[in-house]
Amino acid sequence: MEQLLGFAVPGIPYGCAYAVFAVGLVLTYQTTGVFNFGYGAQAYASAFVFAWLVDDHAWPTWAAFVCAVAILGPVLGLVFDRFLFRRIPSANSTAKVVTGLSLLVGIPALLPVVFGNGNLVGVPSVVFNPGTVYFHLGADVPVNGTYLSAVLFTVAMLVVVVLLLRTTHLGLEMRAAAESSRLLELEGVDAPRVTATAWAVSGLMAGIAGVLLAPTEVTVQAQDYVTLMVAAIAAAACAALRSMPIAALFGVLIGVVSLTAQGYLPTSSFWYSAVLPAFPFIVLVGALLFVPGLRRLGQATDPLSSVDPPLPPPAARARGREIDRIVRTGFWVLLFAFVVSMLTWMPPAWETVLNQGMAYSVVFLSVTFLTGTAGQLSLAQATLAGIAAFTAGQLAVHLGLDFLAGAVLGALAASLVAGLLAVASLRLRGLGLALMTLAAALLFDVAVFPAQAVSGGTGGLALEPHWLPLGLLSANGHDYFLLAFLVLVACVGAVRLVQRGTTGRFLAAMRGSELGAAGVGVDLAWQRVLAFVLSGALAGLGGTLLAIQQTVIAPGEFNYQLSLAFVVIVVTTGVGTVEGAIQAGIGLVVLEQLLQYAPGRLQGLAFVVFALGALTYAAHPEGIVELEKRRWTERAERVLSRRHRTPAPAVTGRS
Amino acid sequence: MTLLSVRGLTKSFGGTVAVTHVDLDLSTGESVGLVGPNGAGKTTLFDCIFGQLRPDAGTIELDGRDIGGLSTWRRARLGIGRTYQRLEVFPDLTVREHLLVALEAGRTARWGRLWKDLLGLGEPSSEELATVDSVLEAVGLRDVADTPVAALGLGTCRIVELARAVVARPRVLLADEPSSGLDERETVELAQLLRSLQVERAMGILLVEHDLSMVEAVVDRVVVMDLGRVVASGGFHEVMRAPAVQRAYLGSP
Repeated sequence: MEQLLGFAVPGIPYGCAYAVFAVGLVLTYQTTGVFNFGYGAQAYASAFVFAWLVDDHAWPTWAAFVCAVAILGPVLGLVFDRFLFRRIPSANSTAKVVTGLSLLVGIPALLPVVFGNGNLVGVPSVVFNPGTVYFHLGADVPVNGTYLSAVLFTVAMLVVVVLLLRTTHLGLEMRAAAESSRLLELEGVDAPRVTATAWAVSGLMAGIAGVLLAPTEVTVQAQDYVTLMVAAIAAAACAALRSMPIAALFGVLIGVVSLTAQGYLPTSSFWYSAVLPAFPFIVLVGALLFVPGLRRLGQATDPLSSVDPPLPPPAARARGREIDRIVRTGFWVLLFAFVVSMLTWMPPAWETVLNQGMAYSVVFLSVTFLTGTAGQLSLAQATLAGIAAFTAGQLAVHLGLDFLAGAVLGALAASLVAGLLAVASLRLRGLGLALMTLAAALLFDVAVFPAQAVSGGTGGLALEPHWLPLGLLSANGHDYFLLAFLVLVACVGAVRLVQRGTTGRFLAAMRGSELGAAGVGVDLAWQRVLAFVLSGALAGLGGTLLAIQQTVIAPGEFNYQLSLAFVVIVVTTGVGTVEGAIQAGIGLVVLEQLLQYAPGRLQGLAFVVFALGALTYAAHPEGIVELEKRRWTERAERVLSRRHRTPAPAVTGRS
Repeated sequence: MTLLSVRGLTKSFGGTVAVTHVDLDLSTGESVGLVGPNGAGKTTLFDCIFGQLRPDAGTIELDGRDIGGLSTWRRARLGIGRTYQRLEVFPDLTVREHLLVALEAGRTARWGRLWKDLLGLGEPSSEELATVDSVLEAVGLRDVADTPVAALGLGTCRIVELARAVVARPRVLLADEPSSGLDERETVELAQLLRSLQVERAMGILLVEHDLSMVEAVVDRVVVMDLGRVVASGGFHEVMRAPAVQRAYLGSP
């Protein structure tokens, strides 16, 4: 018993951390209807500012707490509401997920840009001293300030938010606003004020959670908050995003069971190294598969959601014949100029950058196809790219198979995994599907990719030149450009052909209305599996291209954070068109290259730029590039129509 | 000859019984109106017949075949078409593409379709286009055939849904409050269209509708539901005079 307590008690702070975040997620979902992926980033922002004020500017703890939590927390919540989530049509669950993801990706990247890369070590505790042992459980299980803070705060937060939601009129209004703010307004309630209050409360809770958790780690790092957030999602999912006490209970259980099992399992065992770190994600998968309330999570419940205006048609569809001719001619001229430039005068450094951009474009095409064409959201596209790359690498290592042939088999392996993921998620829609793919990505991150047999360990697999008989590794020469260009063109062609054909129409029907599509005989399960399989193949081909270019296949190159960033980047440019994927791929690498010349703190700005761009998704789900294309097309149409109306000047011939 | 047969159908949601022991028959070429106050269980019955809800008890047969265990898309391919109370259109597709989706859905093998697309052979055949255009002509949508549905008004969208439901020549059409949101003129036109399509295509129609003038114009007989049960059935005028029906609509005196 003493040993059990000794293993279990250290799990309490972790469990309470999961619980606090899980309660915050449920609170936000219950009061705003948004599953806020950005919650962890909000907490991190408060912790970061708190530590920055205390460590770097020697503010008193209480003053820093007021500034970072009481002011910054609610302000962030209000800003999210006013400028982002309020603008998202209630039926568009994808937009809500993407906006949350862009916050999760963007805020941690933005903070060092604004405040600098401070050394945020040894953050003080607001309540108890973390190092002080206040009492012992049993004979020798010490309970220090960290444990006390975690438990007391978790209980207090739980009681406050449950009372707020269940016993106050404001809580009732918040829950009603989450269902349909329009209906609430019809009842004479100021629904925007209620929703804003809910976001402010949620932001305050995130701020408190962030600052109180900061002392449990040595330094304040975004990675800790994001990982913690993912574990909290599992606890919230177990409660079907409804019951805060159940979410808190599962949060504590995940923390305590993890630490207890860690104490008993041999450190050299597979269970310790692979299964234990994946435990929260296994819980998440279990919840998604077996908790019925999660199957249609995030789907619109607002009876008035159909009054939202429809998306405008793509610019390519809206332009007239004359503009269309000009655009098409311009496209071929640009393409020709690009190929000639790459083969003749392009400096090697920029050729390498653009080659990488083409490889990313192939991966991004997988997002375009899955989300833009089929209306499904996957947060595991980088994982699929990694599966293909490691498969090709291992086939080369063990069977001596040419890497290019391995790339095809790797793409097939990625397709297979994507297909299995789709089959496992057949009952899930919207947010539930996104969470399932995220759980899969995390499982691969912690349990599969680090394995020696898969990735060759933390150093990764180094590609040897003889694996590539074309000499593709020779200084990123033109041969790589030609390979990447041909693969990109083939992938774009395949996607366009599928989009224009019967399958494309079926996928567009499924994207528009699953009920309507099934009602005319479209087999939705098959279409979803097909979309995932094709998307997996595209991601796989892109992944192997990236691997060839980088010459080393490391597990960190294909982690879940990249998957999140991929979605954010593609929706920024435009997820509905193949051009959007190419612009995203090229845009990302060019921006990163240009930022090499910027001061140190601006190096991470590329993700911030895309994250800020993705925030426009709320107002313009077609993407900012697509939006600008439509605007320019409209301007050009106006100019042309004016020119056509102008009578031709009389011809006065000279004799 | 009985085309659609429902026997003893029961469906509950938790403790709420939505439909209980409902028997219903629909013959080939027959038009039946399903009426009753809100909450009577009409749409739940539709959802069970179409496979969107799994009934707790009872059987559903189409042409003598038990279809109770089949998914929605399989029932659609067997010859059941449906329109929805709340529009279920595909906003990004044009009117013509809506009908093409419905026409193509039951025709080709899964992988064969994908390969055709990848080989650039995914364009609709001339026969499919002719079939679609004939339906568009019949329902008066020829002028907006290439317009994305998102750009159309509610009344036109309802016609698009109807055209989509009938293009694959279903044997049974489930029309769920098709006049919802339409004005009086549009409702009259829709009723005429439904009737003409039914006669022309010899399909059975099961019509859920609150607009009794439309019901009268379209159906051969009426089934009245209240609180999940069938309370009366027969000719329109005869049924509307029945005390049980008046109680259902007007309440007990």
